[in-house]
Amino acid sequence: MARKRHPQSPSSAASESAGEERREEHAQERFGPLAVERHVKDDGRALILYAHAERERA
Amino acid sequence: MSELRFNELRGEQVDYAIHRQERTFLPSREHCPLDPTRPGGPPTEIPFPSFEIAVFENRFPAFEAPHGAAEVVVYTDSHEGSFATLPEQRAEDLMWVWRNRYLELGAREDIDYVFIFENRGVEVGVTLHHPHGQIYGYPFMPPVPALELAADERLGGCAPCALMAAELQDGRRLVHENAAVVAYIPFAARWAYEVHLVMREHRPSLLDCEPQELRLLASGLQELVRGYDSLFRRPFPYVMAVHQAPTATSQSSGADARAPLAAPPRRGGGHLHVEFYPPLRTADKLKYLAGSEQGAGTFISDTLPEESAVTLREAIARAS
Repeated sequence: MARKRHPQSPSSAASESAGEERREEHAQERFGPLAVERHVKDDGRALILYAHAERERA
Repeated sequence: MSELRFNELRGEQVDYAIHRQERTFLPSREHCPLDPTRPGGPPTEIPFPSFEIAVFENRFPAFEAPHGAAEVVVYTDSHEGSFATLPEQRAEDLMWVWRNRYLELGAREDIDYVFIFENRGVEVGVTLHHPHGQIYGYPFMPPVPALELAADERLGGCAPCALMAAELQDGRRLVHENAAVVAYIPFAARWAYEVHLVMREHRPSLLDCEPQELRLLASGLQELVRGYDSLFRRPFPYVMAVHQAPTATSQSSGADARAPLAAPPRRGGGHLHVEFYPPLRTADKLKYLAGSEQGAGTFISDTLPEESAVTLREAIARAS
């Protein structure tokens, strides 16, 4: 039987950063045509940014 | 932290999230929390100067871990516009974001049903005008999708499949079609311009769709909403509800076992479709839920679905 995961913050998320350099560090994950960046906000909430991957690579 | 209480008389859960009383309410244009954080500007929920699509945990959640989830999905960093005015590629990307959230939230132990929705317009209680939707991860099976599963039982198979086939055969209530979706005002619609946009093929969830189907789903939704806006030549308020297969495991809710992460749910019920509940019955008249609807649970409609479908079809054609 398949087991579901317990809730958790995004595993790849690091502490929040407002810089573009930080964004590039996160731009490794892909989902379909999207590049996925995972962050954690100052108050601990998850923030995920999605961008069309072709545009991300350009 | 919210609290669930079971209403014995109605047999339903009520969620008490009293912290939401303090949530941001119709802020001024320059203080929109869903805008990007621009240099020299006020901080927002998204601390970057630009973005395409952003998802974050709601600051004022109706549900939160370990008893569910509440997320905000921001469609664009532009404050103006709507789902209908998104570029085609962005709308298609949004379908992939929905799919990603369905996959990740549905895999959680504490979530039995992933509900993607959008409230549009102050008429349905919108508190922020920036184009966005929401996702609730319910820690129980909510009653409306449960009723759809009950309809499967009653009809002896997939109810949306059977109803779509009947609508295609009848034809009078169809408002839009493409190769992947069929949109119609249901035979027994509650709202004057209620529309169900249904996947032609039996797709329990977004995870079961081919990429081409996601593209056509986005296209069909945009065509419909543009038609809505054209209908009375004004932004058309609505509630948009994405119905899919439950993600509950047999352990958590008595449903069938769920497939491993990254594979579609394999339970019996569910057929991906999007329901729209617009409160307008004319350009300036709202349908209210009053005595019969609230006290007896019976909708009284002032319009016939067949007649509404004619005008909505024309509006969609006009807008495309």
